[in-house]
Amino acid sequence: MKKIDVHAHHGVWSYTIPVADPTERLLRLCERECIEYMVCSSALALLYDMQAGNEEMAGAFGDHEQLLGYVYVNPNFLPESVAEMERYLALDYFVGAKIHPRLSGTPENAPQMQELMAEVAGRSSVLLMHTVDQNAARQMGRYAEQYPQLNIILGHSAHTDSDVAARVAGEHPNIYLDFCCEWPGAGKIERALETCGPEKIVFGSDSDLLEPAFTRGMFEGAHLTEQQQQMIFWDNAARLFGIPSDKP
Amino acid sequence: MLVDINTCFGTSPKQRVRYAEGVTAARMFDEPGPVVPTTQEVDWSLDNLLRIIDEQHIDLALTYNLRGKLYEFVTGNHETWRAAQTHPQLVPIATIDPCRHFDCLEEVDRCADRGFRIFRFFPDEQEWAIDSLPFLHICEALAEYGLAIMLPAGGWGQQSRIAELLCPLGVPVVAIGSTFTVVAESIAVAAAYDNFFCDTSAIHTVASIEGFAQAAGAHKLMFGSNSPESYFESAHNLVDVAQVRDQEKSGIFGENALCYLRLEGPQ
Repeated sequence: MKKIDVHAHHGVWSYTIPVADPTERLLRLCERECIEYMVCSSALALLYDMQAGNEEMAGAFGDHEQLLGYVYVNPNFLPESVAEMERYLALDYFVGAKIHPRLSGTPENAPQMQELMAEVAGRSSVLLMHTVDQNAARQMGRYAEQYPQLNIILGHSAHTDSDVAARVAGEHPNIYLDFCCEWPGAGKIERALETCGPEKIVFGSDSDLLEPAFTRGMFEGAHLTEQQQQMIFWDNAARLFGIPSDKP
Repeated sequence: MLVDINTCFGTSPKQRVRYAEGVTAARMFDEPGPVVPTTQEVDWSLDNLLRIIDEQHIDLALTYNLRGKLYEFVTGNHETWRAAQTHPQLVPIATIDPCRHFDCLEEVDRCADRGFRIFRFFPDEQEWAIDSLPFLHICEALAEYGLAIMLPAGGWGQQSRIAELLCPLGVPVVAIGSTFTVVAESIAVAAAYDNFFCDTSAIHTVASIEGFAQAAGAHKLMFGSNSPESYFESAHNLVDVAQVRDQEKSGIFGENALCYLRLEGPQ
C-alpha cells in the first residue's frame, strides 16, 4: 500500500549510515517502501546549524516532488526561527514545522518554548514535535488546546509512554500520533487504536535514522484492517498536508 | 528455516520494560504531583510465545524465562527446561545470577548435564559488572563444557570489554540488542574475534546489517526478535529487506545459530 511518511530526516547522522548522497538514500527508501511522499527535517539543522540545515534541505528537495520539508525551528533562536518560517513556509514543498526539545536543550514547558509555539501556531498548520515521554505528551495537549488551528504530530508517541500519548490524542482533535521508535513494543498500536481511533494515527519512519521497514513491521504486527491501513498510511496525513486523497 | 535466538516467557511484576528506564531518564521536565510510572502491558506468558512461534512459522525459538532472571535461577532454569521438553520448538537457555554466590557453579554442572547449550546473563537488571570475578568464574566453568554465552551489547565499550574477557575462552559469545548507536562497535568486535556474534533484534537499520555483513561477515549475525516484548515483524522486516546474498540471509535467519551454537535442527 502506498504511504505518506510524516517523519524522516535529510542529512547525516553519526551512526552506521552509508556515505552516499542523502537525497538519493531517501528516494531509494521511498521506492522500496512505496512511500509517495516523505516529509523530512534537516539533520544538519537539528544537530548543528538551523539556518544552514534548512537551506541545504530546501536546495536538495526542489527537484523531487515526493520529498517535502518541515522547517526546523529552535526555541533558543526565536527571531531567527520566525525568519526561517517566513522564508520556507512560503515554498509549496515546505508543509510544516519541526521542533526537537532535547536537541535544542529546551523542555516542552519552558517559557522560550511557549513563545516559539505561539509563533509556529501563527504560521504553520502542522507541527512535528519530538515527544519523548508522558509529561511531554500532556504538555503538547495543553498547546493543542491553546492553538486549536495547529495540528500537532507527537513524533515517537512518547516511546514507552505511548498509552498516555494515545489518551492525549483522544482528548484533542488536533493531536496525532506517529509511532517510529527504536523500541517496537508489541501491542502499543492496538491499544492506541482503541483509545484514540485510527483517524489519529499517521505513519512516520524516522528514516534514515531508523529503517522504514522496521516501523512498517509494527503496523503489520498490529494486524490493521484495510480501512485502518488506508487511514494511517495515507488519508490522515493527506488531510493534514493537503495532499489529494485520490493519489493512491 | 527460521530460528529466533531472542525470546523469553514468564511474568514481570513491574509491568515495566527495560526501555522505559531510558525514557524516564530522558524526561526534560517533571510535572507537579505524584510521579506516574511508565508501564507497558506485555503478555509474557508461555502461551503467547507459543502463539507467536506458531503464527510466524518459527522453527526454533531460543528462550529463557523471567523467573530465572528476576527471581531464582535454579527453579527458573528448571521451568525453562520443562517447557522445552513439552514444546520441541523451544530451545532452552539457562541463566545464572553471579550475585547469588551459592549454587552458581553447581548450576553450571547441572544445566550442562541436562543438555542446556546456552547461558544468558543480565548484568544490568541484576546489577553486577561483566568484569567481576564471580561472573568470570562462571564463564570459565561454562567454557569447560563448551557452552555458549549471551550478554547484552550494552553501551559504547561494553562489547569490546566482553570480547576481551570472554572470547579467549573459545566459546561462542553472542551480544544481544546491539542498537544503531553501538552497532559500529559490534561490527568491529565481530570482525576482530572469530567467536563473537550479534543478534539482530535492535539493529534498526538495513545499512547496519549490510555494513556488518560486508565488514565482519553475515555469518556473525543471528536473527532475534525480542518476542514477546517487541513486534516480531519489525525485526523480521529488517533482515528481510537487507541487500545481502540469499545464502547470507538464510544464515542470519537460522543456519548461523544452528551451526555456531551447535543446535540440533527442528524435529
